[in-house]
Amino acid sequence: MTHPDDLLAEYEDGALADGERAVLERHLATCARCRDEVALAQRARRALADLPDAEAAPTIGGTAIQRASERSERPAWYRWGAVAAGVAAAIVALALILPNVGSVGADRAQPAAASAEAGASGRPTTVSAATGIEHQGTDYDAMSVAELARSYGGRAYAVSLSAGGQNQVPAPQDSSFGSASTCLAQAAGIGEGVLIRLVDARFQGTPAFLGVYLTSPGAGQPADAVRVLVVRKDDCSRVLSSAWAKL
Amino acid sequence: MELPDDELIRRFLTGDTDAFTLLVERHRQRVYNLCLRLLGDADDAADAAQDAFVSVLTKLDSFRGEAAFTTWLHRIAVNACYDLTRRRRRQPMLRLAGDGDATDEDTGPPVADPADELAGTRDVVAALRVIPEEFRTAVVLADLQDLPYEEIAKVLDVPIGTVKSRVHRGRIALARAMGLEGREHDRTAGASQEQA
Repeated sequence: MTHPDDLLAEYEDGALADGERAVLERHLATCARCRDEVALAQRARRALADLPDAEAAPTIGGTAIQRASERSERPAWYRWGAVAAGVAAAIVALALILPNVGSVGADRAQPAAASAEAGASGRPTTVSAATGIEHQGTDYDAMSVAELARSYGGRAYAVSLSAGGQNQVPAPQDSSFGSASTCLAQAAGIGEGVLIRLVDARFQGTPAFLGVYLTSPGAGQPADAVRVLVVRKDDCSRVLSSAWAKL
Repeated sequence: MELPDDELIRRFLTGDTDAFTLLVERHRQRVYNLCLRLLGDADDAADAAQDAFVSVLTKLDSFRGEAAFTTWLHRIAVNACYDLTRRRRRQPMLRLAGDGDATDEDTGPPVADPADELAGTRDVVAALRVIPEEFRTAVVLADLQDLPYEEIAKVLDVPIGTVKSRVHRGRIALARAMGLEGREHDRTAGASQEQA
């Protein structure tokens, strides 16, 4: 006799669908072995259900928390950023210019460039979700990526899904945009926010895509941070993701 | 409102250390209990859980949200327990040397041979220690951690049919190790009976 072992666990859980349960119960009516096994398994299941949780010591996970804390101490390039904050006025001035620095195919770019008027007036700078790709000859490193992220700082942003104000995402303007944004999305994993700029460049000599994302703390809330995600072009693996700046 | 795991991870990866602390605190109890029931020893469970969270930290950059965080976390925790078991097996003398009053009950990995156990009622905790490891893992994930079979299959990277079979056979092995079998059938439930 063939025994339907693949159905027994769910039968013991009371989770078998009606059709399968009927089939199994017909089998159980004629099979003492399976009847005994089901009865035994259900007794074990009840015993497990009655087993209380043991209290975990609050120190568990402490080693990881400590290491996370140490890791968050800023790396050299970020500490440089803190020093640079001392010359904030200069940085703010750069912020109005840098989004396009290094851009070779500037005519195809969809930068989050702010107009000086918008930045100065305190009104949110309207940016669009990226629909094009900038092809740059720039070879970035951690510091210049941080600089790129920081260049978006100091302003409030409002994201428009399309430049014309239509409630739809515009079609990609560049055939390579689709594969590049897919590549970034794979590495991004968890929602990074809105991709507002996509750059095809190099990172420490390796061909890479740079994605500039605006992130907000929740739906409908203004963006509060910008991140630059760097992925390798060849396998879409994440190279750098920690460059960010509070807006 | 409680932030979802994915949001905590995102915040941690953007520099918010407190988000990682929250993540650990949220899952500490669950990871510890998993390790305790897999390893059968409170000190070993604490060590393995500690290792698991360190592993989570080092691998979080590569977590891409394709699987649920809990699935990913369970896989890391189960592997941390397996690693600790292997280390214990390699270093039995060191452990004995450090525990002068140790008994067979609290040294090394759980004994995996039900035939060595005396017949009679034993409590479920002790019984978990004596059933084969692959049965124990399946039963603990299903009946103590309450993971769906599909998720267990992802945690263990085995077909779902194998999971269901291991859970069923594991329950039977557990009941027998507890001395619950009062019937004439006196088979032993060993790994060789598993049917994927």
